Amino acid sequence: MTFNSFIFWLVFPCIFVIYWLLPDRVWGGKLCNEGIRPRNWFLILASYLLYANWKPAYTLILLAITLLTYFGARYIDAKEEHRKTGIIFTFATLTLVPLLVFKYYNFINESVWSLLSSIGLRYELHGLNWAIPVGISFYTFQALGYLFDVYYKKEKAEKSFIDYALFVSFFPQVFSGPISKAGELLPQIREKRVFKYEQGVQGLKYLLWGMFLKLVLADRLGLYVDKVVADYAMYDGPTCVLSAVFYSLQIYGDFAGYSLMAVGVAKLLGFDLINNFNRPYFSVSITDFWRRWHISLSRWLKDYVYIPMGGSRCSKLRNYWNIFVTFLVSGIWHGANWTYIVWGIIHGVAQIFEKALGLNKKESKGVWRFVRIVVTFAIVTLAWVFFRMPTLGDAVAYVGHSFSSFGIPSVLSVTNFAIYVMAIALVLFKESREEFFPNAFRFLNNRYVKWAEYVVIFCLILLCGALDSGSFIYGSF
Amino acid sequence: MKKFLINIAIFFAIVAVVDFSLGKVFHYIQATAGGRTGAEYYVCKKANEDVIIMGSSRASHHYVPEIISEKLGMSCFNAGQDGNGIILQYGRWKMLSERYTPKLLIYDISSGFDMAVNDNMTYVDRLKPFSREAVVKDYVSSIFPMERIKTLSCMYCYNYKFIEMAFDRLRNGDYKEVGGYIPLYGHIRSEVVERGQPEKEISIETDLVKLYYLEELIKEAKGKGTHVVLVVSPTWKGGGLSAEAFSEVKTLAESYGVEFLEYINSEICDNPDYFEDSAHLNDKGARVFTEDLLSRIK
Repeated sequence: MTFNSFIFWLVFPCIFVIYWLLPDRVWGGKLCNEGIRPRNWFLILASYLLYANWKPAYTLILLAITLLTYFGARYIDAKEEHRKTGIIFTFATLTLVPLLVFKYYNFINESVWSLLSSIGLRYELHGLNWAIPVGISFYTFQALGYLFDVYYKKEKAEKSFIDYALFVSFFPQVFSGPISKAGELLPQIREKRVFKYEQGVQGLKYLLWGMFLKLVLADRLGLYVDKVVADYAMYDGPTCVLSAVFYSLQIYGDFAGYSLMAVGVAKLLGFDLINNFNRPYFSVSITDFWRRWHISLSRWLKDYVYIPMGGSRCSKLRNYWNIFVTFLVSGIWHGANWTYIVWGIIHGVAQIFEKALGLNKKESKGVWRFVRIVVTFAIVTLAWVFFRMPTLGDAVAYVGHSFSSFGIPSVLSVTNFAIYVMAIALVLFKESREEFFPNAFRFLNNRYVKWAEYVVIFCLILLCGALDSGSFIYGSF
Repeated sequence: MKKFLINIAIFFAIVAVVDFSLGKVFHYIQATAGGRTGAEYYVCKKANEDVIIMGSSRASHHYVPEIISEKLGMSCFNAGQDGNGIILQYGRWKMLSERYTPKLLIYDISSGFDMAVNDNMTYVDRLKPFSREAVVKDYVSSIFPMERIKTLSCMYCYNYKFIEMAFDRLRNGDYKEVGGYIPLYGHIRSEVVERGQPEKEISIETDLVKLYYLEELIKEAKGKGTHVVLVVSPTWKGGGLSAEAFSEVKTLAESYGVEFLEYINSEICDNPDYFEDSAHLNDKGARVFTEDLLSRIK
């Protein structure tokens, strides 16, 4: 059940009301000195039920990963230093097994088969025809991050299984992140939660804007992109270029929209999650882009891949290699397809170039900053083509076709195009104001203007949103 | 918490007022617009022609009401709708048949929109502006129960369509003059012609929901005394489909004793001069086809 489904909006108010009506802590008798936490129990129940709503059997995988990392962390915590490396390796590998089987088995199987058949060996293993458990990459990485934190002694192993189970399965983030760190979320689960008006209002604002990004910007643009991508050879170059630009905006609206909704729902329940996006398309370099895009994943990769490999405290060449491997992992994390791997490589190589040229630390102003934003956006858009297309061949052909002719792109549908223009203009205005002129348009801070703003955005969602549309792009990762 | 809940209640009260007001405005635009919006409104609320044509875009481009009126001596309106099939047309039939009973109903069968499994939600979309009508509300919520709640919002009902309606209100194109028929004047691309016969037959996974409402339409129309004709109109080179693909519809037609006419292997299908693209006849083809169809209807 995703945030854009109508059922969720019927269910969530019930969750909200029951959750806040329940006491935070009740006396647990002699068996439980610290008392029982009804709200945490309720959130676990709600999280598992919402997850089961998608495919009940897959809740067992969520539970298995929770149990494995919970006991793994406690075991690591209790062991002597010199024996920990082998234990963390064992538990981390076991935690990754469901992800590897469900997400990568078919890809590895097919790739090995293609390789072997190219040298005349044809030994085929049957592929798995199972759906990938939704959000598996997200909750696996969150649980794995906790395990590493305990190993690196950044965190103590959590004693309460209930608190830890909620940390892994917390429904606002289990489907598509953000990937929280144990140090951020576990203390919030442990402490007493009281409803704060400001936090609740902030949560609603995030929800509203997230909905707008998802339903009006992303899903509407998706109609154009899907049409062009499905039959790109039939369209002229400029239409393909416009479709690629639209895809960049679509995936931003889709993922940032989801993340904002996740943060918003969590705030309504009294939790603060990490904000996953910070106006990424105003980045002046790819390095900057990764400080603003999918921040929780970038942070995870930095903490558990890049830094353990040596980070930047090593030779230049070794540092470039570390960047390359980190983005290779990022590509593989996104999906079992060569297109994602190439997408990761493009980002990795671009960052290596920036580092070699010193562009990653160079400040820019005025026109030069604008030029850098446009160039970065162009590189990111090119990489998204690989991300979007089903095969590498299609991606290369799409890029080639995009520059095969010049002219004015096709609008396809005037009605839809009117909505694209309105949605893009609104997002651009909001984000450029926050990025470049935070103190301008002060009248927008007036209470009544703000109320009018919220009503207008809500009405635009109902009037222009692609309601009843599909799932989130990142939901399949 | 109290302040928070009160503010939420105020917010939704404001939204409800805006929703109600915009609903009135959109309803006015819809009722006074021309073009396709006008045609749609006419079919649902005003049409009283003897012959009604229903189906997808193929219906709207293939049947010429002017010829039908002339040959049969009856008034005719073409209610074909782009990208739609039985799910939309059954809802329209419900509205239309509450008002009067047409003498002849020609339903153009399209494999994609009347038989194949796909997202039926798309097809109820154009019925949502009419969801104040009890027959429509009941019908739509019988397929999608949640729609009973969602369609309480006028903004939801006119979602996206209000822009189209506004354009149609400004342009005010006349649909009555041509009886809802949308002529096409282009020609099929030479690459498609050179490609010749589609290589393999396309198999269709039948949507039981669509088939059920097709049966309901036939049953209700027959029950009211309307003569029903199901037609598979021409597709370039038969569109890769054989008569077998329509066997379920044919069986349905036979069981209710209605006419089933198919043009899968007709000569019209092989003449590139008659086609706009592989799925649609141009005006020249439509006229030839309409004449031929009238000679076959009993």
